[in-house]
Amino acid sequence: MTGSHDPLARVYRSLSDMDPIDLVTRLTLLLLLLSTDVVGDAWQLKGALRVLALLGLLAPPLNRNRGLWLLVTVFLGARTYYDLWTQPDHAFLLTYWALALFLSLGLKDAGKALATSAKLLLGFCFLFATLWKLLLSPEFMDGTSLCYALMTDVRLQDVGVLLGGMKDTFYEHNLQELARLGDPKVAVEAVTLQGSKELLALAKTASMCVVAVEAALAVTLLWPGRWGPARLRDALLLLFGITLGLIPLGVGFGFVLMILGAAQCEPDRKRTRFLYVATCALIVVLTYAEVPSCLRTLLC
Amino acid sequence: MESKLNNLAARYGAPLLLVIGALCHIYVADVRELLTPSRGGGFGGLSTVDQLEGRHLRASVSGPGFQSPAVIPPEHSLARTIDWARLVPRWHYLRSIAAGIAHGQKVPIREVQLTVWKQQFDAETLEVRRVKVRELKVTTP
Repeated sequence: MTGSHDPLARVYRSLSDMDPIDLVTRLTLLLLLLSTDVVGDAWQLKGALRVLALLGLLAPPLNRNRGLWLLVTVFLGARTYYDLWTQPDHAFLLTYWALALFLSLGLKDAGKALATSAKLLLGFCFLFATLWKLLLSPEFMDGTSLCYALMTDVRLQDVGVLLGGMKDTFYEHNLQELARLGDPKVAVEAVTLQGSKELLALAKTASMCVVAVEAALAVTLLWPGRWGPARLRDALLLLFGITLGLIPLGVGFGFVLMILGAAQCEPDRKRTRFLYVATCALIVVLTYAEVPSCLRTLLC
Repeated sequence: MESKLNNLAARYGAPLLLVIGALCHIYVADVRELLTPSRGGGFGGLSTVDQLEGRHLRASVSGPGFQSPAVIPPEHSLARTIDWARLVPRWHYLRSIAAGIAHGQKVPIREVQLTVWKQQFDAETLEVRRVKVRELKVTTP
């Protein structure tokens, strides 16, 4: 009877059988410990959030305590106020999620309330993301903004070299030129960057794919019930999460999406919930493994 | 006993707040064209070239017979205002910074000028150009 002694099987059973509320609250607390961009730089708020996270993880069932989540919401809300114009969007999403946890825990049917909240938070997040990319910001669909990111964002340098024909010397030049443009002592109105011919075509294709996936996610998540387009939501969300892990933009955003994904899962879908947890782990590993950088070393 | 209101608040409270926040963001970023779409809770993310790193605040002071770039004081309280002014150049942020600059000058000055710039990118020519977002001129007493 190897099944009961197999550690992987035990891990799978332990995670898939875990109460969904325990699972998502613990994952949320773990994120507060792992990610710097969701807790901010102010030591008072960062310290308070991390202490709360430690307490919640080490002293169950404190992870389900409304008082703890009220405090987390207050500190995340304070961070949002303090960094209103500078914090990344997934920090906003996490703040709303903490509020949802506070409002739901303590209700008789907390799981259902959390599932509805998570589904709507994700759905509206992708709806607004699609709205910006498709309608409000004309420079996305023609590839301009992704092209610019691939030419100037050092986090995307390996992707730009591997897939876009960029060279490392182009990035050095581009960053120097942008620094010149921003230097108050230099009276420069415009600079010219260096890039490859194939980069714009790559950026246009990638832009269309991103909008298609985000629009599909918005539709499937906001679709009422679990049938029709809603059947695709978990597969799409997991694929989106894995892709975020491959492009090293940080652990925070992908992790938040996976937590909300696990929360909106129907209670009987244990395997799907496990996949969300596994994707959280994969995002962490892929982010620190820097897959594009490894591929560059192998192929270039 | 749980009220219906508690249940509704638990299910829809946080998503409603997200929608309100994102609509406010659209107003400030798209209608008023002040805030960069990439920050502020509107989920505009990578949709734009106008990112935090591409926003700059330039200051200059002028007095009897001179005009020169101004050094923005590195005091902690102004550093946050400067970051905020770069991203959403509201008049009272700019006036605070102008007052801080005027206060820090060793020679008498007549005027402080602040300009917030963002970047525009042409993907065909690969040119990045500075574009003015907002300008403030303050005459010192």
